[in-house]
Amino acid sequence: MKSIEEIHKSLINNEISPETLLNECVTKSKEIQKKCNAFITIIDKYKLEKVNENIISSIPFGISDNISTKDILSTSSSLSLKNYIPIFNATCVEKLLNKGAVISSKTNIDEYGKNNYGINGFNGVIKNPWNNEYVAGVGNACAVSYGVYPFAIGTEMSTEIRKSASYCCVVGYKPTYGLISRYGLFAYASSLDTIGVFTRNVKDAAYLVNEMKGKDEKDMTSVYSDDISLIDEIDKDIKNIKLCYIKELCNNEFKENLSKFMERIEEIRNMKITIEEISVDKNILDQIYNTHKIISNAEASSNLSNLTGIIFGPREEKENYIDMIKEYRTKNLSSEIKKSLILGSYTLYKNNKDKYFNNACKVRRLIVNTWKNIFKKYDAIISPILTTAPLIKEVKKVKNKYDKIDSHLLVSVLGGFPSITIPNGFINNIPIGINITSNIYEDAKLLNIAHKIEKQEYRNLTIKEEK
Amino acid sequence: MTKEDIIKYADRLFINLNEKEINELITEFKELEESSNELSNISSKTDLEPLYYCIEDIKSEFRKDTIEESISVSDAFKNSSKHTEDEIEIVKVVQ
Repeated sequence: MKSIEEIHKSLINNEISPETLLNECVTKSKEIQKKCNAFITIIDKYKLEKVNENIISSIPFGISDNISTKDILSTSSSLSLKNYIPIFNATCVEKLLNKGAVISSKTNIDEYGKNNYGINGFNGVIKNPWNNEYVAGVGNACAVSYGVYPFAIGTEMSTEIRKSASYCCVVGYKPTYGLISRYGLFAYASSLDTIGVFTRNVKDAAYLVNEMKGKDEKDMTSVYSDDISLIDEIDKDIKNIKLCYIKELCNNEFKENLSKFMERIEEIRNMKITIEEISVDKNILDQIYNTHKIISNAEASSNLSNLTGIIFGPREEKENYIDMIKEYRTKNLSSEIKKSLILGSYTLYKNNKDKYFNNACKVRRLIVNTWKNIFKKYDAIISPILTTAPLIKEVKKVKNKYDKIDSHLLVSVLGGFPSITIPNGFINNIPIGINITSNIYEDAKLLNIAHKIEKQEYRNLTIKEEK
Repeated sequence: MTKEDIIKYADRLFINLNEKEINELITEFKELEESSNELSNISSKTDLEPLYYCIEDIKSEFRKDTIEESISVSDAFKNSSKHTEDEIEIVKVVQ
């Protein structure tokens, strides 16, 4: 499968027409929908525009169903929004459409983007394209991996982009918090939610985020980034870069995954790049999961309080408004979301806030400061992803067990750090990735490192070609 | 945390729970308590301020005081299942 740059060249040189490209995309979408249930909506009627000079012009792409798309069903994989058709585009979507890109599908996710397994959306389980018995995470990783289109836009509240990318053998990049406006993203946990991308190579990810970034007056937490160019530095030499990995993350039961990770570390060292082993207080590492869980539940309980079924969502007919809302929430929210809201609101009660929420936020600062101190000495942290995609039947039974594995990846959302997962081969024919994380605003450096160390054999690999 | 407590907290959010959800929440509240104790063991050793937002140097600006086109009434009603020409219909709030 071609990269964005190559597809653009083919379009400009009339080697392929936009119509052919879009028709192929629809055919592949239908194929993978049957096999993996990757989508909520497939768009098969397009308004074709002329190819322009922009690199993403006339190229189809997918968008997570929890991002607002004007006049296109956007359910966030929840029954509570099963008929919701937004009247506006998210800022990131608007930017891509202005450059000529074409929306091809709304992709399946876990309800409200919470979790990275793809097992609890109302539209059913998302299956891994490499082996249908395993989870895929989110539908956009699935679609990019299958070669439906070269890129998709996703969201991350915990590790949804980066772990799904690892499960499906694609690149998953979560930029610095605020680099891409959150306007139009259905908020779950506002201080953690980030929009990011799935691609088949690092350079494509850089192109895309470059197009979407920027201060947005509709999102006060978006940041100025005119001085950040993600493309200009991508090919820079990285001889003087210093990387590290955390020893405590490499001492556990996932031997096969770790040996794959250490093999890669050696290969990178052979490229004359410095990688040192460092140590982080185990007590801090052990509290990352708890900290994230308390904060995300609390913020969700506030953000999702607008779900009443009155202004939007399927209305339930009852004699008074309290019973209406109760019936709507009880019938249309999954157990997973209901439990999160109850736990989250409990931690925000006046008498509980210090004990739970504020306490978690103090530890959040401690964790984030620990990472920031590492970044004073190192350009980036390279980390293993400890699990390949779990079996669907297994994760349904013991989800909690899997939630706690790879909790080190949560630091990136707690601290707003840019973080990217790139493919690192296969274990028993199931893909596995490695993760690289840098300090905030150092996205250009992060992409430069990732681009230099990504393996040629996985660049632009799709499942169809592999098979 | 008792079953009655959980039903009371759920009710405050206008949510009804089934038996399975209540039992799962009893376990989850126990875990929350344990987590909170573990977090306190760490946080009590530092005098750090809570971190609510990861980016603390966000420059907030007032929007310009200019009137901008808003959404139309018909757009605003597109996702509400019951409405008249200019109002969303709802059951009586004051009975």
